[in-house]
Amino acid sequence: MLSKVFETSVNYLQVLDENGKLDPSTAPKDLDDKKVIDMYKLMCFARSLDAKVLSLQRQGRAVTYAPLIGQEGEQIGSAYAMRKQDFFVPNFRQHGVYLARNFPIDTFALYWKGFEEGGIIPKDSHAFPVIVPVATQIPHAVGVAFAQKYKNTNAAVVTYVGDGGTSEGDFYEGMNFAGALGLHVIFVIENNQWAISVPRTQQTAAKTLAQKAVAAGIDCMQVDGNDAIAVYKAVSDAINNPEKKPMVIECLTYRMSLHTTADDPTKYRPDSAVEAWKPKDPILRVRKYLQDKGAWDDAKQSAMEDEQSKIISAAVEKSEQFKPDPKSMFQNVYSFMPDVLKEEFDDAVANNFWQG
Amino acid sequence: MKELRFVDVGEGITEGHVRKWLVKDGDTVKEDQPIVEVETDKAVINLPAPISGKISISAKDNTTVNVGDLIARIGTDAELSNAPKEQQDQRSAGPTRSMIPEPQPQQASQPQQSAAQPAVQTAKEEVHDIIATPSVRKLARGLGVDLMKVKGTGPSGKILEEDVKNAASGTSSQPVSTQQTTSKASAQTTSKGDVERVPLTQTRKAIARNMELSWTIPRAVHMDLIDAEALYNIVQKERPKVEKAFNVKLTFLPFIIKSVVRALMENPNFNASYDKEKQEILVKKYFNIGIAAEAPDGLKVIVIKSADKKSIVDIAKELRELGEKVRNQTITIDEMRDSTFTITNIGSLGGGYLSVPMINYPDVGILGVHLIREVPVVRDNMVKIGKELPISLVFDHRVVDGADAVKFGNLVKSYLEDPDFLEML
Repeated sequence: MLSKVFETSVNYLQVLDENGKLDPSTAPKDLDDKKVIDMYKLMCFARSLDAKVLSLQRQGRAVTYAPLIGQEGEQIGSAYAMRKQDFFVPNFRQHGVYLARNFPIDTFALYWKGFEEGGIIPKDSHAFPVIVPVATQIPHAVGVAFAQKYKNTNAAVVTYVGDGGTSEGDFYEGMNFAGALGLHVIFVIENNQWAISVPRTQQTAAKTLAQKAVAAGIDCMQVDGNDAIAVYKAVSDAINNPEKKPMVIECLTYRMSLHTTADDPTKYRPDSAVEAWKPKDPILRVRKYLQDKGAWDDAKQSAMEDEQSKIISAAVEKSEQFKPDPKSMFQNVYSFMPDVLKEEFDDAVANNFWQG
Repeated sequence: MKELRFVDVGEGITEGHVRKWLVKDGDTVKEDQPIVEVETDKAVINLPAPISGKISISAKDNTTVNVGDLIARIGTDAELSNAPKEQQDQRSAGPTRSMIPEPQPQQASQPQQSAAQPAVQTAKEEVHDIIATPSVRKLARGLGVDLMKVKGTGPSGKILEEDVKNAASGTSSQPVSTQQTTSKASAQTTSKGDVERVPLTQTRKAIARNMELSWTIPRAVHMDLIDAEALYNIVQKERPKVEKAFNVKLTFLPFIIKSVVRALMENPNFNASYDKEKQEILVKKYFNIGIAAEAPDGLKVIVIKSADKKSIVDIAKELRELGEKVRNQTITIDEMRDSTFTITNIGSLGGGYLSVPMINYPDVGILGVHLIREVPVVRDNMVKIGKELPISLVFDHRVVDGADAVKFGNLVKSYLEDPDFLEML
């Protein structure tokens, strides 16, 4: 006897197309102009801030940085869907998510200037600091979700992983626990088509990255990652699902710039590949949509740009005046200071090691 | 006033090469505006202005800068004229400054190594920790090189593959300071006579790399002769008018480019590249014609972008502009990349009969055009004096075959032999 025991499929969602046309049948029910404008402003802010940090890095005024440009849609859309109580576990490119989560921009500027104090996460941000080792954030996120379940809170966890990260063991293990324990964690895959120089086509034979969830018994879907509204809907539905189930959401987007400032994509990627994604820009389509509705115009645009540029300049200015305290490198790692670290700390203070 | 100093823009960068200033000394620049293009061993990057103001350039084009070196100052006139002087030139002659401002005296006073000193140092001269990757250690074992006797040229004295190979072949010059930067020739005496070791310039390195890639292409050549009488006549006839109307000298090349573009449109596989990995041909829907150009520091390929949308006069103007940039060394990478097919005009150099040029990787083809000569031709059963243009078409035989090349060549030939028709397209 041969019978079919399992079958599945993966859906793809787009709400706002490249030309700024909204599909009312898939649009989120709670969507209004204010929300769209909020998301639009955040995307613009994220892009300006990104350009500024890149410029600072080139002058030696910021540390190695992973530019965000092109991925504002999935980051702002997903972050905007989060509720105050929800947790956010990033990798190293979620600048937009931090912004949308009201993370203090002054702290953000300190972090990219290389100061330990920039890693201090305000408690009410419900965020983790930047996590660089690929996919190691996944078990953390699942652990946080497990804690929420244990404490019986009403908080979901949203975590992010790149297309390359989905090939890591941590990703599979984390998903498996989330599925087995029924944890309310949403895995947002930022499929920006490049894992440094490895293209998505060489990353895996799987047709979608979303379908990796199937083996863990988790629901999944694919979303146009350059459509902030679609991402907002997908993440919002997953967060507000009364069943508090885990979910994998693959966002199709494109890394328009460098992997990090230590990378030169012109060595492995033709400009024409990037050009092809320019019309799909996440910011452009929302602006078209808002302008077509009469909810946005050039005057509003320039007022917004002025305001954002002032905020960015002020934060940069402040971070350059900042006097870091070397003690902070011991103090902000744990919520308490373990004995072994205390010993090192006392030793360092006794020898005044940072004065030499 | 703010200083722009060269920093570690990647991870572990110690030096960079100032490729091109995007602004002029004394220009007014805006905050975050890209002002200079610097090449490191990882990437070519644009450095932005830290603030708005007037710029005073310290690091000139084509010089090497180390991390910590001053690149430019930006501020008001008064601030700039009061700024302390910083010597940039001394570096090329002497040891370089490190990120730490104090110079290291023992290094500075180190005597020049004599040219004839033995290649590999003896152990008693120097005992040092060995920093080398496992692959380099394996290589050293294989070649029988004692790593204790090799001075590494990598960061912090790390021994590189190159150092081991040099030590093995006995060609290693001297324990080189890790911070020695500029290309400097060194003399060496061998049993056969004097030999000078000249390090490759950045351009030479790039050419060598591209030629090695080109050599991986299985290629064949198609050669033909074109009757250039009509082409010669139209250029002679129109040259004064074009010069007067458009202030540009008309040459044969724009006609050749135009003919090639037409032939490419009808034979798209020549306007392509080969993707070995995916076993695909990348057929390009745009026509960017690369033109080999002689620059002071070696071969450059300038690119006429979207040549299919440009007139003969447009192309002539662009050739002149790009040619000047090549000579002045102000050409940008953008103006030299993304060619889809290349032409090399050997005739313009004034010699040669037929050549077999190297394909400009990853293109499928390159067309060599040669000196137009007066030759005896048979017309109407009579021997007459004709004009002959020899061409050679080198092509990637994985993508196209000889029959395709003949078809392509015949098309180029038909257009060039009837340039009046070409003008109508």
